Amino acid sequence: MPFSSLLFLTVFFPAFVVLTWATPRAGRNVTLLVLSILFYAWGAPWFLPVVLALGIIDWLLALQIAKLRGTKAARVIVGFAVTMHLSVLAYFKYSNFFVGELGSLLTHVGHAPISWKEVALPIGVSFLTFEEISYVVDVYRGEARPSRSVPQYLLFLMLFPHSIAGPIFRWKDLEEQLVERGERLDDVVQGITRFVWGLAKKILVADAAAITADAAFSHDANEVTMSVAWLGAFAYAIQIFYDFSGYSDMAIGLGRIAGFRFKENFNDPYVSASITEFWTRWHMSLSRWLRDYLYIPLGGNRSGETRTRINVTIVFVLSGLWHGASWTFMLWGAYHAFFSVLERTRPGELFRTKTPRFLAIPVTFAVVVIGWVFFRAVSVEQSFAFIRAMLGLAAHVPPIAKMPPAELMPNRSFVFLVLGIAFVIARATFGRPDPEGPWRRVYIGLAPLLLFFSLLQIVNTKFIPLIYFKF
Amino acid sequence: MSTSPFLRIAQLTYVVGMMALAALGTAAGFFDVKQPHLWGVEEDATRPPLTAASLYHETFQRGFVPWFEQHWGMRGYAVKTDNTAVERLFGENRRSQSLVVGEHGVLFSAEDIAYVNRSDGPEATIAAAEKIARVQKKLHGIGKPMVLVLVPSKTSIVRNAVPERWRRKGAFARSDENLYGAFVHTLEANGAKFVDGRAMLGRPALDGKVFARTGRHWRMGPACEIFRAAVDLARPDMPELGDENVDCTQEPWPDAPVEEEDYDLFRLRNVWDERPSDIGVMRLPRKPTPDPPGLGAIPTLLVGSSFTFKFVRILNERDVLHPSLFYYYDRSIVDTKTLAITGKVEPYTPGWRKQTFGKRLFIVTILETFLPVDEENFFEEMETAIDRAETTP
Repeated sequence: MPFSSLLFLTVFFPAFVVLTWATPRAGRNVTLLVLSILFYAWGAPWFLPVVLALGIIDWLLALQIAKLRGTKAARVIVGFAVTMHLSVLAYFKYSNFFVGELGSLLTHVGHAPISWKEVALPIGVSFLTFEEISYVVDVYRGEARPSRSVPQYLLFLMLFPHSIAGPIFRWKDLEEQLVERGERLDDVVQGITRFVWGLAKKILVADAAAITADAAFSHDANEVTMSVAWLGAFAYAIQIFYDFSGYSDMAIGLGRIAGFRFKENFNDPYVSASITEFWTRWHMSLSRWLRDYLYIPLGGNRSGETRTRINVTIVFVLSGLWHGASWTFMLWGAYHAFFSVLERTRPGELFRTKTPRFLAIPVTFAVVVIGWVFFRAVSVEQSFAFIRAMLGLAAHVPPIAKMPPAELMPNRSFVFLVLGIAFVIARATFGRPDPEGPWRRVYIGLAPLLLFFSLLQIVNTKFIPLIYFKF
Repeated sequence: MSTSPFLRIAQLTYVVGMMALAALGTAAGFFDVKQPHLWGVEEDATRPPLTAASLYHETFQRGFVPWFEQHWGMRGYAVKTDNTAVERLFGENRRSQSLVVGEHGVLFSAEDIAYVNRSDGPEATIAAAEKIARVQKKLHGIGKPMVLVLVPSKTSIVRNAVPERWRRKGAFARSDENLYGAFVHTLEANGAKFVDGRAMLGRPALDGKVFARTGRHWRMGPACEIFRAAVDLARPDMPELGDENVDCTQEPWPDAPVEEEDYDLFRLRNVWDERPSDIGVMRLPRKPTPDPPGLGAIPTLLVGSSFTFKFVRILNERDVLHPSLFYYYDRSIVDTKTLAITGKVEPYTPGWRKQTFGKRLFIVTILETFLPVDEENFFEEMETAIDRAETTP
């Protein structure tokens, strides 16, 4: 049940607000847990027992880890827990990919194809895995105390606002809020407003940009003109930012309604002046997780420049793989690794420190936009062909456009693409408006209108009539 | 901040208002609030049975979501408001994959726009025309006249209303010249008899009379003129048609219902606008006996697209050419009297032979938009049946 679905918006969302606030404060966590279980049960009922079982096992293991902390046994238990969670992730998310690749390889050398029943990907499994790992590791490191109760830990894991697309929570960030949080009416107002703005970012801007991106990427990449290729990649950059950050806004807003203060997940990433900076602004909860639970354990930057570069590359490639089980995602990770490593070289260092921001930002943005091609393309071949087209090197550009301009970019896509980038530029120029300042009234006052138009669009896009029945 | 009573009331009002806005449609669904009608047809979503197994296997969720979306209580209001807003703000229809708003309010089906933008070569169209001419000759050889009618695409008649933004850029042979030209030329070169509806109706004097700006299909008047031309074309092979032809004199129909074909694209827009009053729908006055009598009892088979329904109406309004059947391009068989679907075409069966070759006259319409042809199966089956000598009813 995506947050932008009609069912969520018109049934679950109002029910959540009313039930949360109708429940006495002492029982709110129970209400939230029940709602979260219902939410999960709707989206992946067959996976629910797995989540509950993993949560309970995790909780028990963490208690043992805390008890045995500093001993070899604790190390063994934490190793077991991490392996268990990674195995679950590997099975549900990557087995299809790896079996498919292995099958192709075996077929290539004359072996019979592998018989394999596709494994369904349960919602939010990637986020869940990272949160479970961070919990046991933090308890092992002594950076967090184990949860006092199973329901409390399950609520942390399954809290529905983040269960589809993050942000990635950490137990130590939410532990206190799960016990005591300041739940005020102002939080509900702010939460609803934040949720609606996120919804509008996804529905009004990202979905409009998607029309252009989808149209451009539907071309044979070998026949795309340079302008169409750039337009498509740019539209996708706008789409993915407004879609993903909109989703994070919705999650943060829903949390706020229940009194939680989730950490921000985006911080104007397209005004970054380097790739290194980009990764401190884009999907920040993931970047923090990768830094703390992968990069630093690998040695971070403490073992010399060569080792650091290797670590950076490993982190980015695995980050790509985390986003999706395909070579294109790994390439996307490797692409960012390349530029991150490049920025650690002397010329890169010079670029980062000496280039004025007004020049460095568009250069970085262009690098990021090209990188999104790997993310959006359906195959490695398509991604390279598309990038060749962006460089004006398409294999064969026919003398006629593949589609009329109105199909590539309807007026509404044009308007929202312009608005989307104008908003980014305005934030880069004037900074983030103070949410408590004079913009507050505009911010809150526009929300009903945005909810109204988002709802209209959501309803209308599902109505696809024909003039007559096609018998 | 939240200590001020005024602020607290404002905040409460805001929260309640937002929740009401979100939940309004669901609540309206419970109370079955009357909604504006949405035009167009869609597949009915049915509510799946709720069982533990259906929940666990997600079949309930997968079925419930479309049902809920289709029965959402404010759907009619939402769709119409959204469509109206998008048209007013952006000058385009949200459903541009099926409906394009052209210049001067002329509406187009996206299929017709796609035809303008096609750049495929004429080879398939030439082959189709050769085959059609061959089949026509073979049918003539067994005493079954087949009249071909080439129905024009709206974009070929109302060319200037196709917006520039809906035309592909670059130099290419436009299909409405390239394919159409190849088709007509090949038919002529192979001695086929056909009514070139586009040539007949493409005269500037008829501008605006062939297609209503709000409709996808041709209007009654031009359709009747083409029907007359088709009958005239068949006459040399069928003396029983007599000398007279149907009377195409029309009468204004000021209170024509919005369900009329001249409004079909207007309906599909689903906006709040009132129906335009200047469309000038016309109709043929119904005649209860065959008019002319010579056309009365001539069993006829109609084959073609939805444009052929205008011919079906002429048959009914003038009570001529019956008993007849209509093979719709998707293989459905339509009874022209009742407009009921009586089955699917099942070629080479005894029933098919009887109902097909039991007819005296074949009228096949070919829509320019779908060149080479949408009725390929029909021609293939005719040729095969004739070659196998399986044409006895």
